[in-house]
Amino acid sequence: MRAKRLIFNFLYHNGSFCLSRNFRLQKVGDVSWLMDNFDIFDFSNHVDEIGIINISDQPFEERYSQTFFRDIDLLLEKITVPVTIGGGVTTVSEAGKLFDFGADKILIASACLRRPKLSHDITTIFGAQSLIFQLDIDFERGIVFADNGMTPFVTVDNLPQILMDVSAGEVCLNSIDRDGSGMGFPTHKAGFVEDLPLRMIFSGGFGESKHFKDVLNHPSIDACCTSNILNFLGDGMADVRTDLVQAGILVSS
Amino acid sequence: MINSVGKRSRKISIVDYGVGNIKSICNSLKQLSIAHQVVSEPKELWRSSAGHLLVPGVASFSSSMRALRSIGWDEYLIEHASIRELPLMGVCSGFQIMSRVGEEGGAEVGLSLIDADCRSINHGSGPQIKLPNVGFCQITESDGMTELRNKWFYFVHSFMVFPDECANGYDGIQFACVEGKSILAGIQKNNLWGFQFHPEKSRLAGLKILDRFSEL
Amino acid sequence: MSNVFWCKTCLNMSTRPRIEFNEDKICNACQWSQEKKTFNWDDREKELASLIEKFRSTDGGYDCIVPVSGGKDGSYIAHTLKTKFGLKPLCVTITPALQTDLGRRNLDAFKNSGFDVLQLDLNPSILQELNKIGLIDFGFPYLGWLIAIQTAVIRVSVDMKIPLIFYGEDGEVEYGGSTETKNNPVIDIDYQRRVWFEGHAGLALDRLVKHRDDVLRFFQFPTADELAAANTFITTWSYYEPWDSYRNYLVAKDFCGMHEADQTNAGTFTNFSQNDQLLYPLHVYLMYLKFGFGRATQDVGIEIRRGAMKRAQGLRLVKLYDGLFPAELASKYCQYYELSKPELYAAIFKHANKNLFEVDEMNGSVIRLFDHEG
Repeated sequence: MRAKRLIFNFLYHNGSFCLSRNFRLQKVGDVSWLMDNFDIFDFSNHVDEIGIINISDQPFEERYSQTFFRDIDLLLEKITVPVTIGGGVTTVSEAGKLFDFGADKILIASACLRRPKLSHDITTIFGAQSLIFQLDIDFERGIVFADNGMTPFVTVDNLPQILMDVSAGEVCLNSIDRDGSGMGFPTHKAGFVEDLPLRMIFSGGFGESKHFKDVLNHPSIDACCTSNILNFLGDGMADVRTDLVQAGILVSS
Repeated sequence: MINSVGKRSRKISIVDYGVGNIKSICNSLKQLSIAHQVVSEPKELWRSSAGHLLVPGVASFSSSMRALRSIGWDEYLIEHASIRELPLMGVCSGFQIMSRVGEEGGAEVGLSLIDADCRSINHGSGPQIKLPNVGFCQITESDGMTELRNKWFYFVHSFMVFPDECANGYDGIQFACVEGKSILAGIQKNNLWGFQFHPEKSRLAGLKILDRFSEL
Repeated sequence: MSNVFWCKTCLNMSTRPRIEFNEDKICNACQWSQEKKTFNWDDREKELASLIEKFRSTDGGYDCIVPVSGGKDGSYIAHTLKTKFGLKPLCVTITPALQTDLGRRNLDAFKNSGFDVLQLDLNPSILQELNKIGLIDFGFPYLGWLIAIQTAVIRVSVDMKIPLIFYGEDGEVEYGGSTETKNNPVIDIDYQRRVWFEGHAGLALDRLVKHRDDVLRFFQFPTADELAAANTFITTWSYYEPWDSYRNYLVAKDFCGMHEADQTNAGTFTNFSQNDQLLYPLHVYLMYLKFGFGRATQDVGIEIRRGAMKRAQGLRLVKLYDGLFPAELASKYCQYYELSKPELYAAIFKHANKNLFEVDEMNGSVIRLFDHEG
């Protein structure tokens, strides 16, 4: 039995850490605000992994500016778990830059959706564990989106085929319709993952510990990911972990 | 925090051989207020001893060895560990290369600091697990460093160290259990410490190992 | 502070006016939110259907009035009345003082989503004078607007002969306070005066320098005779279906073009409510000084009651955001109220509850004397 994982993603947009609701952003604070108000070192001791997702809509070079690397370096100093970086990566060399900077894994959504070959190129060089393939899905309407929720791409019926074509150690299903809502992940609409031999992360909608329990009780779900900076910073993830242990779900501690 | 600033004067030197990211190791030592430096060439250490040396790793056995050899680190590491008998800690492939030979990325000779070979996790009999083995795994057996027992550490690997069956004389040896398979997690022998997992990515439990190493 | 306590489920404070707690110290808002889940809404739905049929226009005119601001709640109600019941609502908005650009854009987007909006720009100097009296005398910095969104809307209803008015929720029932309208759909003028205005409206109007009935028409309730003759029926939507402001938000942004603020709103952790005017942050700051709870406490309560957050999570947000003075707006407030900074601060801090806060007016520091229970 493997331990289930709790992942926290910081959403970064041009200098601000953000809360996202249905992919619409609320700037919450800059890196100084974050460091002043939260003990990131303590926080990272209660999660299994941390993601830093750069959701600016700029091309790679501007998106991953000096400011980004400077801000994130401050965070990394305090983080004691594996770190995923992602957002706007379209080539192997861009992925390489993020690994060089200190990423343990890269998260890619649109580029792998459009060019599954990119995922093979990356995992050949950096290993299967180095890539998380994220799918942004409106489960309510049954549509997979590209470009940060802007472009309808395919319907969810096509997902099994897409997942066959893409090579990635982990797949993250991110619910656009529940994103930031605190209404829980729409697990009832994600039944198609049950037979897939993939490490699955469900992301979107987590408001409180009950929502994590509901998802992690499924044997085929490996991890939950939340980016709700307001609900879970501070002791939020520690409390979730305690609740999961009490519910008999195996999590690392 | 685990210790206070300026508690010790010992410095850990981190071997930078260009194959892995050493930022998280440095950040962890910074959190612990342990003095450290990154050393990219061994020649200065030949002159003045490095004290504590840490070999990080994220690459394959063979590419790690080739990189070390190209800068002359292999000879210094043997000098440091076997002749001068100074503290040496290897992490992940930095640990694996302490063994005699490795299979990953093509057969390659290692530093032979421990009586062991490095092979695929699924080598030999016993349950076969899905590779790579990635994630936090729990230490189920620990001789020596008993405080590691039941603690969780972050692993990313497809290969691991297999000590000779007759090998004994370790001060400590740890195993994790993954899907019913016993995974060698760490070995300590005198001045030599090796861990398959990444202490620098294993929360407080990992930091405590780095802290203890600095006091070796 | 031994007599102050907090709801065991949300963070509503015992200082909240008219709030009721049960023996387990659970507030009436949380009790009601539980009751709502098993409540038989069928009867209320039928009540709504028959109400709508009773007031549906027979001559192609407007069927009802919905007060709106371009925000989530009014937009949701207007959208639902139009799409689900096929009504033609006349939406009425009272332009607030110091309206924000976002407020203007949202109102435009709402109109463009297919509604007639009657926009009342009331005499700004009277509105300002009432708001100022509200600030100084009662700690209600936008009292004039609060009055007008009732009185002017009802005046429109009477004058335009559209007798049915749908307000959103009764905050008393939904967020903590009087429970007298929980099982009563009628919001009468007496209730508005007594509960919603806490008696301040009449007093403020009396103090108005420019007090003349002809200019105050939109700030005064129609007479009882007028209302009876007009067959006016004022009600709240929250009586007829389980009120869920988050659902309203989702509907408003999907169908009525509503946008959130880019930044977190002052004094709280959300960005999608009460975005239309700059006096609102001051209003909730004064609420904090008077009662010890601010905008974050209110929003946390909504999140907890809809199951999106636990109390411990909410408490962290309350500690982080509640009671932050919107300092960046202070100069705008001075300009608006025609007060110097010291006068503004004096007007604000005089309302601070001395049992809850230690205020140093000289340097503007406010020290909280209470600690939220864990």
